[in-house]
Amino acid sequence: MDALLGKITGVESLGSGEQTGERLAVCFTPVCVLPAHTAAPAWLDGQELSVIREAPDPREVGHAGDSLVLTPEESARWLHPLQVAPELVRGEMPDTLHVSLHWWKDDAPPPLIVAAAGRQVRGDWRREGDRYVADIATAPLFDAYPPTTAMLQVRCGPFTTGCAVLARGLPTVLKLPSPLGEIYHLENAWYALEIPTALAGGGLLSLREQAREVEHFSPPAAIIQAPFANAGHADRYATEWRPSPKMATTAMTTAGARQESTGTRLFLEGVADAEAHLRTSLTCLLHDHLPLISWQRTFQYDAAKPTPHADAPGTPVAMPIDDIRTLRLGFRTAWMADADSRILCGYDDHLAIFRPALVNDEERAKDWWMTGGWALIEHPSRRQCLLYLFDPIFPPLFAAKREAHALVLKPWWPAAPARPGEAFSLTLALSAGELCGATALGGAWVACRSVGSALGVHGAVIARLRELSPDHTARMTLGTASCEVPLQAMSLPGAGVLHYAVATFPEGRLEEPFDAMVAGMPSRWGGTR
Amino acid sequence: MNLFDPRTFSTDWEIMVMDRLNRVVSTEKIMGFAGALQAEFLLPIVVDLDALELPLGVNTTFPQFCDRILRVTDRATAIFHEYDLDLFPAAAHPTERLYNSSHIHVGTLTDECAGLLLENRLLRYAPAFAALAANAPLAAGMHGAYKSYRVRYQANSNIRPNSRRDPRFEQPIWGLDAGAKLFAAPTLEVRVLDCASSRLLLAEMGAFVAAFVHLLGTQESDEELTPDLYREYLINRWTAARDGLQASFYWQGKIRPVVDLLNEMLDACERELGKLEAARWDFPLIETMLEKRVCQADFARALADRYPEPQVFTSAYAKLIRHWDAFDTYLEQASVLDPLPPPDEEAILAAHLQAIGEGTHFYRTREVMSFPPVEADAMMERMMRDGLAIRDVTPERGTVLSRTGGENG
Repeated sequence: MDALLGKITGVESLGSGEQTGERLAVCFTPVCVLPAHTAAPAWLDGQELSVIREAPDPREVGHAGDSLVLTPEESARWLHPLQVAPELVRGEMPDTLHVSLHWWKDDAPPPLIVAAAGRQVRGDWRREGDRYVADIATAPLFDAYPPTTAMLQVRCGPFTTGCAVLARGLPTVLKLPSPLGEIYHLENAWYALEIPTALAGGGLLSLREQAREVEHFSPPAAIIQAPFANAGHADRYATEWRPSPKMATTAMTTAGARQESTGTRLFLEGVADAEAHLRTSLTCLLHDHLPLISWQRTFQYDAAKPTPHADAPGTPVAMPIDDIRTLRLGFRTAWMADADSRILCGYDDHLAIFRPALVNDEERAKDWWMTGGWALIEHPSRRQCLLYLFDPIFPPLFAAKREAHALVLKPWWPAAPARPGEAFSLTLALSAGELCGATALGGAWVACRSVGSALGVHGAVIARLRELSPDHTARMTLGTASCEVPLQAMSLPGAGVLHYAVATFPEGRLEEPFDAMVAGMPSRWGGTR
Repeated sequence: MNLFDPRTFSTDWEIMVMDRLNRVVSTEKIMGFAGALQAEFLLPIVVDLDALELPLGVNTTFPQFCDRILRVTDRATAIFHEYDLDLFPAAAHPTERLYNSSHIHVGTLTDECAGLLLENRLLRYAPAFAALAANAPLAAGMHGAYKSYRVRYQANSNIRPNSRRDPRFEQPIWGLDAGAKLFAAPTLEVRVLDCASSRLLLAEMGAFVAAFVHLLGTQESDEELTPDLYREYLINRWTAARDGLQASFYWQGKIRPVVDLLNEMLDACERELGKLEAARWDFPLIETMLEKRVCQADFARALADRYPEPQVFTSAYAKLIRHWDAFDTYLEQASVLDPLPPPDEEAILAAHLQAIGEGTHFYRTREVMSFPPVEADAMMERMMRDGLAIRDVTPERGTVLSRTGGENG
């Protein structure tokens, strides 16, 4: 969540406060947007704004020339003044869009236009308190049968927002406008993903379980925070001790987004470090038939170019080591932490569990590798879990931390010397769900449900099993119905072999309790609704 | 006996600097300002990690110390203000892992053996100073449980509990609550105090700490630092971090409110204060704090209650405490706080257990009160015996502990 930082131009007393001390009107000019300290939006240039603060000691507010940090809630009307409801619809085109403009610098707001399918409709603002509102009928935008997937763009002066209409349960990929720049929205019956292109080299900002309508990456509300700081998956690289800060601001361009027979694939590419000639690309595949995301991140150094004037007198002699860089790959995934949030991973014959009790408690393994090829993150009190899979042959070192608001998993693969022209990849598979199981000798699994396109409910499990497991079946129950399904093996290049099973409950309903047992491993909490 | 001759004292006061974008100014940027102040005052003003450090020279009297504090801080404020910067005298940054102190140097100590033995007698009083100076109730994203997260978390290893010292076997150690520092200066350095936000309070605390250490330096004692007394010191240290001036300490087997102890300490060093040209009536802030059991942490907490967003709080806090008397003003109007009981054995066990989740390295629980290995092992065995935690040992990870029941899956 972002917030404004302003420069105070004046402070005026309004008398006694309702809660405490003095009530003050604080006038300010916008300076930058926190937490990144980026420039304030152009539409706020030269504007003087004001907020009300109450303080027993007015010095805590400050005086002209001082800075003023606003809360995200206070800042929203100026940073994101144009709002539309609904923002996203699955199913039918809404008859009406409700648009609100929470701030404009002049007495009359700019014209309101809604555009889709090559057509435009103008809206009429009306004043409602300290904001403007408008209701726009969508019918004039389309012929008799509106499309099942559409992006209705809402424009008002310098502001742009939109309403995305998606077909329920069908694979879709759409570009959405957002305060973070363009976001790719991919979804199917299992998941909806959002991947911003303007930062983090394309990270996974949102992972929504469709059946339960549960968001796995919810950041804490009302806290100024960078994207991915407290929720989401972002890949990282390091060329020395610390992770490179450049990845956080690496923007990507789309090299293609397409629907294939097995899923929806998104390709992004960008420049991680122009000075170091380091490029990066991301391939994300949202599988349609399973609750599964394939994720491949590549970093590549450009081939060496001849150095101008290399033979000029006085130029130091170059050796091969001069062209060598160090490259270390990893990722950082954060979830809002509950008291019972924990990370499990298998290595050798051990099941390691990390549930830190104290903020800033950290585990950075030096001598044990995640040789099980998996990490399972569970939040029992909110019935959410996420399984990461990676190649057991080339595992990372475990690292995790409890931060102020989040539980963070941040493993690193070993560093390697990198020559110009060389590429390095990080391949993962992810599966999120509502049930999970893990044992030292068995492996780990996650179960998820989706609503069938016809009637009924599908249940699916994704598992990483140790070769020692004798039981290769998955038992799933939904209400009183029970299904036993053989686990099938699937090889994911770069992520190893996983096992999966899908069960169909034709008469099933989502409200019924769901449980699973996979390869003899019971769920860590059962009977979930 | 008189270990400190001539009688001197000073402070190393670490103060962050903030710009008008709510950012802490880095060490490299502050160095120039430190140099300018150094040249102007001929004092060894330097920098520390993302902080200005104000060593205020060798002082022989309280009025001289006060005068230096006022002149240097007035000038520092003015110099930084020219660049739209403000001093931020907080003991901990609310969101970043930065801790700051007002170390008190007590001189002039030249007998290292005697200084080391003095540590053994002084360490039990260090928690009282910690309680008085507690000023870090928000730190690195943590809040709510302690009035000094700096003391609780040992300021990123910069203040660690003292061990019993034996000059026959010692090597120079740096970073204790209170330690003879002859390898660097002819002083005994009391490091446990959180950075003061009030410069008048710093003046009072500096003279008080110095006078009390001078007093101990005149007293011969055969009293042995026993394991029980050492345990009391460690528990009191934790209690001081948690409760500030509301704390009650264990004192030779009895329970004593820390304010009573501090009152006695002030009375005891009356003569030593006199040698520094000070008297108890020169310490109105300390007097009011002891009367009300209110410390600087209470002031910061009251502010934080009204600003739940950490960066908004940091901005308000920084704007307030750049006024050196903000705490002084608050203290005048603050209500009296109640004393809190010390932790009994069950509460001590609970505090150690709270540090254990699952797969927690066993040292996390040892770090709660820094019990020595014999005590810490006994605490761990009790947890196992009572079924409160289980232990797992692997060659790769060593010993990890997991709580049983509760949030366990």
